[in-house]
Amino acid sequence: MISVVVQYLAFFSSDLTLFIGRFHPVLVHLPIGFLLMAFLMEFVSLIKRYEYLGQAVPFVLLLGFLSGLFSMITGLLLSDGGGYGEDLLNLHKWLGISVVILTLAAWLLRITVYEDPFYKRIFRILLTVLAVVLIAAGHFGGSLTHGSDYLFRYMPEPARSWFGIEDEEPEQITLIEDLGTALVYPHVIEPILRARCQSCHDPDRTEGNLLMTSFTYLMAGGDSGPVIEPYQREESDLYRRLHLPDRDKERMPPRGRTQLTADQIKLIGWWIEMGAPNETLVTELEATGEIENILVGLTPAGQHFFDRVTVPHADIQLVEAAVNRGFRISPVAEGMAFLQVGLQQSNKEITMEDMEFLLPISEQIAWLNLNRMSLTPGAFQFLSNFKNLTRLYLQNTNVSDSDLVWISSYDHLEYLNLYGTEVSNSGLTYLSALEQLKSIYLWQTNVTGEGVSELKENRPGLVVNLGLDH
Amino acid sequence: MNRRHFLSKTSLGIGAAALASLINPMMLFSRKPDPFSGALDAPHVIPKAKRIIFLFQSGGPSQLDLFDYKPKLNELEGTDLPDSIMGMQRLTGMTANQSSFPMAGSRFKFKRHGKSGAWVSNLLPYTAEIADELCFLKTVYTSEINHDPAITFIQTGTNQAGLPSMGSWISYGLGSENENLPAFTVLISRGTGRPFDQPLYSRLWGSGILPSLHQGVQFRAGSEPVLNLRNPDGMKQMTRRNMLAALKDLNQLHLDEYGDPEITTRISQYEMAYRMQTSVPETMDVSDEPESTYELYGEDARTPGTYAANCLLARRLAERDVRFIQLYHMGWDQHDGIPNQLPLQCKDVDQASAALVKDLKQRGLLEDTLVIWGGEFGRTAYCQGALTKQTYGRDHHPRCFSLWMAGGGVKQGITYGETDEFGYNVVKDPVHVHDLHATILHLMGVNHERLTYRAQGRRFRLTDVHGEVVHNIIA
Repeated sequence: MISVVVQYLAFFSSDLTLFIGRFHPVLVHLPIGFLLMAFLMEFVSLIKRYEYLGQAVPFVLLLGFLSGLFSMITGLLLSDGGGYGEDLLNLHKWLGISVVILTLAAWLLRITVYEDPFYKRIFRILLTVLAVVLIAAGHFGGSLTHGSDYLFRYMPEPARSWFGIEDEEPEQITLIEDLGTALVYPHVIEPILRARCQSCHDPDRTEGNLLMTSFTYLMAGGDSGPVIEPYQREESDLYRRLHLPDRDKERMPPRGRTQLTADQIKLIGWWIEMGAPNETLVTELEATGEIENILVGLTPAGQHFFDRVTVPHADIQLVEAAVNRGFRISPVAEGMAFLQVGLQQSNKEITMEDMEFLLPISEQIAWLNLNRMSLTPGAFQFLSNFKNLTRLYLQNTNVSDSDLVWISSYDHLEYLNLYGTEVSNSGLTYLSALEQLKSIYLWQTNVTGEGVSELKENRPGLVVNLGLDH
Repeated sequence: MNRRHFLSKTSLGIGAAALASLINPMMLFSRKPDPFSGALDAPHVIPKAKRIIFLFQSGGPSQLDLFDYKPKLNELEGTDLPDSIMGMQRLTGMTANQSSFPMAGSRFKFKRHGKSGAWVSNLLPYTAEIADELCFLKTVYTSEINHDPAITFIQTGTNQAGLPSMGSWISYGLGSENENLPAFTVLISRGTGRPFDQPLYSRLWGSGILPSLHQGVQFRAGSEPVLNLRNPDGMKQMTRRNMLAALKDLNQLHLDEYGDPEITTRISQYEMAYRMQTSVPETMDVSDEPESTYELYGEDARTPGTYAANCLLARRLAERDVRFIQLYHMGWDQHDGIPNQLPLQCKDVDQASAALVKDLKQRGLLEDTLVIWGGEFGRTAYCQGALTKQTYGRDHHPRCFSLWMAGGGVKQGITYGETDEFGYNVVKDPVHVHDLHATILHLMGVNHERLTYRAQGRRFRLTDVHGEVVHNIIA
């Protein structure tokens, strides 16, 4: 009968169907309240003091049944509009329908044969089952609207670990193994969409009726039409939404979700401008220098240090000990194991004993600032332990040529400041193996143009600054 | 012990610390009661800039005569600015009653400079030379039309006095990089174009609701750069040391009893002041600067208190890892007499501003120092007062103005945003002052929505409830 009504309404107007259907989320709270209340009243009435509550149970059950019936009808109308994941929807639908049937059964039992002790027992079991089914139906209904991880996403530690809920790490973007053979959609664009968009635009949730799980689905678009207009990135809904302000309701990914980086958005824009091809070789597409750089950044070799290298978190007590010794230490950014280290006060002499405090955390130190410090003989030797340094500030220190041997085997050093030191050409020879070095500052040292050109011979891309007068 | 301190000391203090350490053990170590360490345990994102030099041009430099080239204004000079452009916009009381709004073209020559082809007028030859280092924002706009509210706005994110200055927020959030000097320092100079205007007030670099440790400390020209720092005549250093040690013990007693964070501030400020007795003279003493410094910054840099001398000091402070260095150069309020006044103002700042950028670069500091040059608003396309062959003036214009940034993770050699052909409205990529703040904090590794301070029953932040990071100018 109900399906006849649904079909009749659908025939009448699909807008009307949806209009009525959308009252479902409002109405469902009524049966939830009524039925839980009936359950409570039945069991509380076992206490002598509250015996009188038992008399009201049939009335509350009837209300629960009627409101449940309306919820069910509106729910069916709402599901007709689509936009929900089939599996989850079916589960919710049948649980909901069960609630209505169970309620009807319970009410009938209650008003007829309740006085019989056997049926009284059956009734109470039925009511308990009803409560469980009701909560399950409600939960899956919530998951349909808010997403299945909605309820526990922000559970604090240590409860998270107790319940075995894994931290929602932003999903990693799969790297491109080889740019020469990479295909633009499967290897460049799809990994971004997979990590940032598919959690909502998958068969489970199909938000906005848009599936992003394959090239064909993506091109087919969703409720608001196609999301990609090949060659016209400004006309493409996908690209437009990536650019809306955070607060905008249409912004994608929505506020609170891991956002695409500026580079990832640029890649998508570029791909659309190229006509949004599928399995075309990246190398066959025209790319600006900027896009090329971004693409290189997606290969294992081109990745930034902090994405490429991982280290365990440093022992807090060791960090604290170094802080108490006068070092200023903080993580490079929150949640990261890498540390930035400086001194709390300038113009202090740093001894070997001081440096020893950094040794146990040397693996974690990525930035070390010794600007304007003077180190006692031998203290520089400790630098050989800081294998993960990317930025080393030694300007205006008493570092000497021979001390540079200690940093000669760094794998990741990108920035080295030696301005205002006694370093000369002979010291630079130690630096030729620093493969990641991008900039070096040598103003007011004994280094000459010859030394620089020798260094640059091995490292053509290196930016060497000898000061304004050079 | 009053109720408030009891609460903050017991329930919040111990309870929160215990909970925090349970949740994230890294928090406990950085949440030590050291006022010099920042309120944030760590930057929210990897910082691109570690310090900021804000070259604030107080009064509102005329973007139409410096950066925003509008030949249309010269073409239509003397005719009224079309209503379609002006719309129903609010004007200041100084020009609202003008019978006409004649457009005034710039009397200065514009040229494209560098590989980036940035427009800079001939008033700023040195700035033009480093155009490829700079990121020009053409479309900054503000909500305020008069000096006081607009300066307050660009400093604190609101037009009303009482909230922390940007430097205070940075000091509060990220802490000090060198505990021998204040994390937020201020240097002030007068413009020669309009020497007696506009006044500045110390609340512009005040810490507002934040603990007073984070307020800007003004460094003055002359024999006593920081007031009341020197020992009085007849007081020996040892006497001072002993006095401070005894005072610290007393304050500590008080702190143990009351738990008032202002006492912690007081103790650490005395300690810092003591260290500043050595570090400030050492910083301010430019006698170790070679002759080449003055070739770079200009002869003005020899005269303490000038903008050029302040730029030199800014570099010395940056070298000593001071987090936020703010200069104020006054006199940019050209309501009239642009042809006479503006060249003087530009001469004050041009060489030294460019020199600062170059000098930071050769010292390897530009990579992580963000330099910002700009005022509180721009100036109108129409003339204020009489438009004659000899002279013209421009009123305050909040709807668009130009500003440049350099270093600190900002793209080099780009021009961002576009104004209409009258230089009156933004047509592409507007950047509100809130957006500017959000972007600056982002470059420092701070999420502007998450650096907050609770006062008067609610949390405050620099960007209030606004601000979008301008990702397109970030390298």
